[in-house]
Amino acid sequence: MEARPIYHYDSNIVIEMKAMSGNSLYFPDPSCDEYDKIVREYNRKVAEISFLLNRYSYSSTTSSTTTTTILEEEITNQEDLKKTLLSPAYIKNLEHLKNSFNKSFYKNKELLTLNSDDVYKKFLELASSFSELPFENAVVELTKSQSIKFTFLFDDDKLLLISKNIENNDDLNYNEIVFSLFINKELIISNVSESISFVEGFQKFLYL
Amino acid sequence: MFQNLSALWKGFKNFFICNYYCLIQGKNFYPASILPKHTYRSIINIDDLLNKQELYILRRAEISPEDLFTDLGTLNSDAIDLKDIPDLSMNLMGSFFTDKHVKFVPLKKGSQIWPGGVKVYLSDFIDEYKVLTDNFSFFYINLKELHKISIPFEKEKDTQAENLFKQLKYANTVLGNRIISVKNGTSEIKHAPTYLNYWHIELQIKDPSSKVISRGKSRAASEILSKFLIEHIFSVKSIATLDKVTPARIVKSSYILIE
Repeated sequence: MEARPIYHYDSNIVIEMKAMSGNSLYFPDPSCDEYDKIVREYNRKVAEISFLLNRYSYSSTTSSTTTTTILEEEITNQEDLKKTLLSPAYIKNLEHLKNSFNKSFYKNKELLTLNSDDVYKKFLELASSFSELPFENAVVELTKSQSIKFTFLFDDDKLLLISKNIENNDDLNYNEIVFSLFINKELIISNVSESISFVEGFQKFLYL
Repeated sequence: MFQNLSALWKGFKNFFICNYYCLIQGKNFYPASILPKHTYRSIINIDDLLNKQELYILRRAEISPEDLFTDLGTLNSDAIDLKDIPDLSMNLMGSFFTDKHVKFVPLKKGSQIWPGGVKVYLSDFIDEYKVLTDNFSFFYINLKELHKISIPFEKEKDTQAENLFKQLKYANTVLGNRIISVKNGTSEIKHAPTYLNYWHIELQIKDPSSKVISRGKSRAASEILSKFLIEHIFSVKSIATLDKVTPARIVKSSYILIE
């Protein structure tokens, strides 16, 4: 498959994926083995760039000057791409998580011991994965103990809690999270898991 | 004879000193009802208590009441400071301790462990407590949610848990009829009466090898356990009021010495 840059037109922001991802992304062929992985990676990158641009309140004009190249004419079949790769639910979920995180961030930012950009980056890594979950409501907390905690409410009173220490000074690996699932407020399971495989597994669990 | 006179003198002294500080100097009366009495047991057996009744714990949070719970009804994770675990101080409900007492904070000797059998005179502790006036709140949690639970969790076989384990591709997690997680510590409630509060209890944490983790000596692994307790268990299990539950009264024989 020939590697080509992917472009996504998100409201007033044109995002140049190739520049941000070092040529690693390309249009996926739905029949290829790696399709799901590529889609997931794409979603994460779009979320990351979109979020960072929004955070710094760049307009479409300023973003076009900061990204290395804007080649809108090369965007082929863009609407299909958006439909396939970025579902409205995903964007809505990500927005919801961002808003909740921002609220907590501005309340607790003076208590952070880490650089706030690193904290945002960590949040984004997690939120871009967790936005794939079909939650009904969610709250993100940035805690005084330097953790990011996500609480997701699903149907049938399922409550999923995920926390991640952003300092990485516990004995978990960089990508590992602590999660708990409660149903009707009863703890069903709690454990440590790698974040991306957790999302995959949890989605399958929800659709059983 | 001498002992009786001495007790009488201490009683008078206690009465006058307390009244002087409270009535003349305006210091809040410390609630005598929650002080240890020499007829009380030095330690209440928590296992025995749980066998008999459903009891609740009250914990003070130094955040405003409007920030105490999130929009999803879960406890704000900052309601408990990580450095307060292990040995998190809490209060046992179901006897004399009520939410009216939560503003009284014992200090110095007042917060030290009561050795049992000793009569406490409030006049000896007049400067050993403070009274909070604002920016604090409190919440409740069922005692059984914290006593002898496994962290992360271990429980009876459950179809939902099994399904999730399967989808997460965890290997060898189903042992017999139990589902075992990878790293388990435990939490336990310990009665720790202080000179100024007989109903004071503490949350003890044991690491996966059953060693009690002491405060200030926590390693990374114990931090996971502590954070798990705050961010997961307290978060979901804490409640704002006791309106929808039916807490029991502690039976007197659990805390009064029987001759």
